Amino acid sequence: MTRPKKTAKIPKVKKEDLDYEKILGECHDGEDYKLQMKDGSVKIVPKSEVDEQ
Amino acid sequence: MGKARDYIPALRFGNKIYPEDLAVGNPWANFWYVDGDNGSDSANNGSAADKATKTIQQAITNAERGDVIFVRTKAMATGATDPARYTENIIIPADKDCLSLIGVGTGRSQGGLPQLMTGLTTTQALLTVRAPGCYIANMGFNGAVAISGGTTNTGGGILLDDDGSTKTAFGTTIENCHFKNCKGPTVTNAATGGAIQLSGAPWQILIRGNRFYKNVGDVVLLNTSNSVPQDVIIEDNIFSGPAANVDCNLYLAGGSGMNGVVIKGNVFQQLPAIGSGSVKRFIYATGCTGMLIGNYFGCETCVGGTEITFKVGGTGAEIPATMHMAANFGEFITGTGAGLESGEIARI
Repeated sequence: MTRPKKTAKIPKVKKEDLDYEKILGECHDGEDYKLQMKDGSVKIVPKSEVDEQ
Repeated sequence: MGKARDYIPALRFGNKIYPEDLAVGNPWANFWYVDGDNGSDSANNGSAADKATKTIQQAITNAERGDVIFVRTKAMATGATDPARYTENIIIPADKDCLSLIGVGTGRSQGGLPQLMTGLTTTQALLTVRAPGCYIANMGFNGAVAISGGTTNTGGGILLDDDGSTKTAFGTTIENCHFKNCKGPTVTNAATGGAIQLSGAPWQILIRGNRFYKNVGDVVLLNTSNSVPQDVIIEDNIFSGPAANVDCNLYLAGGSGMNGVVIKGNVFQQLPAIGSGSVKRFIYATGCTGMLIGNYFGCETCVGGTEITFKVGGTGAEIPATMHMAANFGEFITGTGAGLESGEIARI
């Protein structure tokens, strides 16, 4: 049986998945952005990953 | 079967029977109500739910010793991803002993409790207690920025502020609360502050059944400038993780430590490892006497793995010889070779 990794890591959002329309605002105590995606959906991603792009 | 209230004129016409009218529970207390959405500090005195004050501080000001204050959770908009909050820095003054501050929520979660975030003063604790025998329950404390573009709070969550003379905070019970993002002036050093802070320091403190999350320090003894605290019980809490956000869960080494601290039945997540952290331990208890019993730690604590130690100079916790340990466990690694032992923590 494969042993699970000791440190769980939140998977990074792929760049192509960050094709957003605009930033709606901050959320989760300022840790994340709420994004309006081009398909109309709303996505929440860590701020750092958006700022890196 | 109908409702009795339909046959009692006072009730039928919209009035309510309040706790102070019933000789049950605490018959000596007056009861006060805070409603951050619908209340008013100027128009109401807080003596009834529909005459609630808007701020918690106003209700404390209106209350007398031994009274009970109920705080309503503020409404959250459709699609909200953060709870609404009371933006106050509250003080329970020295003449309001045995005050109860009780959140009326739906459960011990961020969003299920009335939440306090920083008010105008970001270097002051969200709640400062300067009277003995107070009871704080079902409240949320969040040290993050309250408004976009604002400043994070570095005064910590609750400060038990005791000088043994003009203000005392012994006998405080803090129960079923949620603490998040709390920190002191040095945001990577738990010794400077965190979620629950003791200064002076007060005796006979009960910290029970709380949830701590992403606090730089969870319970912090800042100093023993007036007295070495005794009889401190820390039980049934879930302490902060993840590792990258925490410097020390229980920093009890301020001043001369604690005399008689019982740490029982708690859950400690991964070993604190905040960047540029000063302590990076679960517990730092230099100078303390007491007991560590029935706790669970998110680290390897058995031979054969990368064993984290609990002792003087320990890598997981600084536990002096004057604190005894029984039935504490970490993670037991299987299949890693000879000398397998249970995950029970020993002073190795």
